[in-house]
Amino acid sequence: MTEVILTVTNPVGLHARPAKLFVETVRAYKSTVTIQNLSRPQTKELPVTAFNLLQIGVRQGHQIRLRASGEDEAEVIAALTKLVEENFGE
Amino acid sequence: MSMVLRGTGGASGLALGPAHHWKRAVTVADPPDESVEAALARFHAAQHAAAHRLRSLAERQRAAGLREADLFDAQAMLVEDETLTEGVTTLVLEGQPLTSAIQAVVAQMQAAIANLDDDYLRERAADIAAVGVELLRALTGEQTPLFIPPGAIVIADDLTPAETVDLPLHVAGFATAGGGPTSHTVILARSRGVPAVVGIGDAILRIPAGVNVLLDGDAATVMIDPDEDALQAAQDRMAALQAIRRRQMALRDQPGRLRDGRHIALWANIGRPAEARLAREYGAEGIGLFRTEFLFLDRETPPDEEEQYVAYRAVITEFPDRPIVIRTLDVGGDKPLPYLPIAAEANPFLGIRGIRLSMQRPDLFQVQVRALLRAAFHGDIWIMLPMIATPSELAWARAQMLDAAAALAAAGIDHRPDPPLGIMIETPAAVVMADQLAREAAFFSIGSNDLAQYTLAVDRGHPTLTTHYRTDDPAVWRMIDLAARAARQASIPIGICGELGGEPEAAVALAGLGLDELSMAPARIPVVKEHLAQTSWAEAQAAAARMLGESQRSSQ
Repeated sequence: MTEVILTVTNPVGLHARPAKLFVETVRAYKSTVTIQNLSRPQTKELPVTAFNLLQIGVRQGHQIRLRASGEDEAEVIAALTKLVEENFGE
Repeated sequence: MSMVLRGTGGASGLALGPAHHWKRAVTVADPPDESVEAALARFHAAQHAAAHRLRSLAERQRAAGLREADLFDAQAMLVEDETLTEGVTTLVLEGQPLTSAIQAVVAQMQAAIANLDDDYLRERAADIAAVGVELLRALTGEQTPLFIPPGAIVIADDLTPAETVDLPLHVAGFATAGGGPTSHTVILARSRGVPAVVGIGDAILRIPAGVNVLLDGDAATVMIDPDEDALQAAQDRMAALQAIRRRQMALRDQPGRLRDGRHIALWANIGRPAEARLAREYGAEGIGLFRTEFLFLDRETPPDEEEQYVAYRAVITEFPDRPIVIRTLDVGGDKPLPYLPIAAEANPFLGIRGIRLSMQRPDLFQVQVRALLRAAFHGDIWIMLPMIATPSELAWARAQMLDAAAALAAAGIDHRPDPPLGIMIETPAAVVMADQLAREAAFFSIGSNDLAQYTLAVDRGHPTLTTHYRTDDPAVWRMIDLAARAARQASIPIGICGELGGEPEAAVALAGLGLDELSMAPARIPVVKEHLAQTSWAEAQAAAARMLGESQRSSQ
């Protein structure tokens, strides 16, 4: 399993376009990826889907933990990290 | 008797018209004794149809240059979401009819979000509700659009984003019981320029059809059956707003000029071909900056020559005999593209960007230049190079252009071999070398935002240095003045395409420096044009002198 903790810094958080890019990136790999919003302790660790992203409400400044398992787990985590760190290209 | 209802938010503007109750025409009846297989097949077909409709709405918004396009893509993803699919499938397998299964799962999903302790996210529950509406609508199949009389104020329980953009353009405004100030309905109304009030509560649904309604999107109020005084006040306000707009638009077909007749061209900055129409409506005399980044963003591979050619020609259709300045790809390490990786840089603004990236990827530059030369065969296209610092960069680009022209000629493809090739003035190096550059470039265009950043050595996004980054600093204005003198000496035109050109006071001073052209966001043109028309050449020159710090009355 590969794990990373990231801070989301883009203004809308993981919603709308960023959410779309996030889900599409996960779909492009074979590994299963889960996400937990560490800044909302009451939310659960969930698989990355459009609805689940909406459900855990990641806003600007929130910390998220991503966990991937599968043959390309390192690659998918690297791709998602890049996406978040580069503010989804905005 | 008049009555005032208050909403929680709105989209700016005043509208007066008869109330028209809008109802969603969704009447779904599941076939009796439908098999599980048949129900699931209908569900999947509806998911497919709804996602398709939302994605084509996204395309339509994108083509119109509206940012809200992404919202429809996000909704399309929700329509096909795993939680929804699994939830509905489970209920249908348990024997529940399809329609109620969808309604139940959508309600659960909404409840999950509505429980969050966050207003913004609670409003996102409306996104899920909208997805449910779109799915049920897809189940009912094609529908004829409802008739809404022109000039009516639409009254609805709530509108999904898709329903909002589907309202006919002749609607005067709308008022909804549900929705909040950051709802997508409000954002979409704003981008369409339609006044709206949302979050009024159920009282709005009980007003009689056809009654006069005065909608005030700024105050977020709806006055039902307004009395004489209220009507008069509203009409005065509407008339005042219209008078300003009319006065500015009356100048639309006149060229930009000072009071004593000195001409200064007002051109428009655009980021997508669709914005060219807007530019013309606001009276632009040309396109001073057409950014081409939209063609390159959000995709895995670069656009091919044909796609670029089509996009460039589209602008010629709106401006058939006017100059169209098209800037070659201007990206850098701060926002790299998937197919143009740039290794991490400590200082992306001093790194590989603009022309420097093109020089590292001449293959991409060739494709863009070929598309530009082909489009230039059909209209007055000028090619503009970003981030030029040295004459050798301009020479490199000219050699590339000659290569592209030779290849097109050899292949017998229509093109113009020698469109004007000019440069952005946005580095201090380009200003210092302006005399030499002016001999080689066909025109200059000041990129005031970057020029200020590089001249003052201040990151314009720096959180605590905002007072140090000033486009009214005399150092920046002396840079502009030096470039303008060099341009005049070499008899080439010089304009500006940074934000400075769209500020009326700055525009006057820029005219005073002798700039030939100011390019700005289309909506800025009427107000700048009016301001210039009230200023004499002597006043403009005095304003320029003040900006240069040449008198005691400095810009502070």
